Amino acid sequence: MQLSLTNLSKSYDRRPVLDDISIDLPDVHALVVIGPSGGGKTTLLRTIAGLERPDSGQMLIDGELLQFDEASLLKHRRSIGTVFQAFNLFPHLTALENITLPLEQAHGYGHFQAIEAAQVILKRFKLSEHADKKPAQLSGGQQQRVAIARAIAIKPRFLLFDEPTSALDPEMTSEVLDIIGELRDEGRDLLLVTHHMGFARTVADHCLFVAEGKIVESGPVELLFTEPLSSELKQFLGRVMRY
Amino acid sequence: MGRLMPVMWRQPDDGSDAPLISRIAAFAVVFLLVSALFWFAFSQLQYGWNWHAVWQYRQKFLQGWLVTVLISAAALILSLLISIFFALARRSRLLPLRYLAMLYVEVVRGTPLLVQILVFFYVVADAFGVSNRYAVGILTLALFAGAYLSEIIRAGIESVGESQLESAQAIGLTTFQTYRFVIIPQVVRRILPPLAGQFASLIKDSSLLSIIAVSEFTLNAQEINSFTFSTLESYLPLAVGYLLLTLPISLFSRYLEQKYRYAT
Repeated sequence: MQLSLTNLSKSYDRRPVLDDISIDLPDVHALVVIGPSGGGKTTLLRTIAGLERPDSGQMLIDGELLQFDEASLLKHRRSIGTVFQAFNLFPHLTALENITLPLEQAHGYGHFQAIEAAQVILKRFKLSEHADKKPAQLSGGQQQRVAIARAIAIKPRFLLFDEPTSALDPEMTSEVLDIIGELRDEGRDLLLVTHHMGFARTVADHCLFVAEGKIVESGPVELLFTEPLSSELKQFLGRVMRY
Repeated sequence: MGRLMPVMWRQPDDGSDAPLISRIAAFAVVFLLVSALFWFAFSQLQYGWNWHAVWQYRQKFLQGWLVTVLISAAALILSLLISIFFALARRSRLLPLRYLAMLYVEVVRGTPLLVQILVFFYVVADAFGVSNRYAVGILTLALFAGAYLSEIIRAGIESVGESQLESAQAIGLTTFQTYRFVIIPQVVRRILPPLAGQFASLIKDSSLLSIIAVSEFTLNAQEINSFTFSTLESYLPLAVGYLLLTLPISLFSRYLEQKYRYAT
């Protein structure tokens, strides 16, 4: 995918969270965003997901300029799959219904068509036996896998992950990361905010280091990790790699 | 204690799983104790019972009871509409609407229903030329219950977390679809039990409409009392009549609570 941001700014209560961000990535397939908490990486991802309106600036995805009116944003959101940290699923619906809801209501599937599509995806993710369970009856890892299944079912242009494993214990983390790795190997474009540096390194082809509302460094993931230029990134890597 | 009464000794959380024999025994003990207490109290009474005089007015009891059922049902439906409006108004972006909702809730919950009924009937309704006491009674009762219901509904809406709304937005639902498929189904499940409880209160509260001469259950009992001078014989059936309505609702409310209990 092609992604280009021009002079993107956003502030909450006059505190800038995105500070005049510009970047041009003509051909990226797995973009990883790293950086300290509160540095603006989640806001950046949410803006690309169409969940935040920037105060100023432009966003170009695959040559298309995104308008920030509600109708365009809705259309944009329907074209991508987003997975959050936790609580993605609706607690009153079963795993299957969680997947069929957007298919039926936002993508024009008929009822049985949606069920069939959802069953195919659940089977692929080895979740068929859990189709009729409510989220509360699933483990945290299973819940995130259902959330990923829901994001994929709509055949999105690309996938966005906002720290999808930060609420999970290590064992469940790997079952979720495995799936993201698989999706990457299938050639799906994805954008991932993560704290797992090792995983970032294996999955990404491009990496952004975001801190204090700015993109401090941008480049191939190996280069950033082995030869950080800025003192911020050196410090950040020093901290997260220590243990 | 546990050794003395092994059959009836249970931890608070597994009372419903106790064996049937334990539950029957425990209930029988309580029922007998309470009955004995009242049996003693009534036996001490120097009172000439005269059920015969009251029996002649059984039709009047029944009519009053039916009027109470109808008034309560009408007030319930109206109060639901009112409370939904004010629950949404409380969350409105329009500030005056929000303050109106707050004022309504605080004033209604902070004043006695008795005063509200009198003011509405003798002042407000009179000023607007409405003289139908049934209409005014139902409206006052609905406004009263609506204040409590709107707080229940508001709490229900707010209990649907921010992350749910965000997920709904992210999967491309419109605002209307978010209410239709995400918020309302969860709110309804959560508020049904307290809603049923509120309906039981509403039925009892309707007895106050007797002061503006709405011919409901309580007023009819009062009238029977003044015809027959048989006070207890008039008011004891009144208590039973209300219990016949409120007890099933209360049990139903508890059943709903069990049914919709799922962790979120």
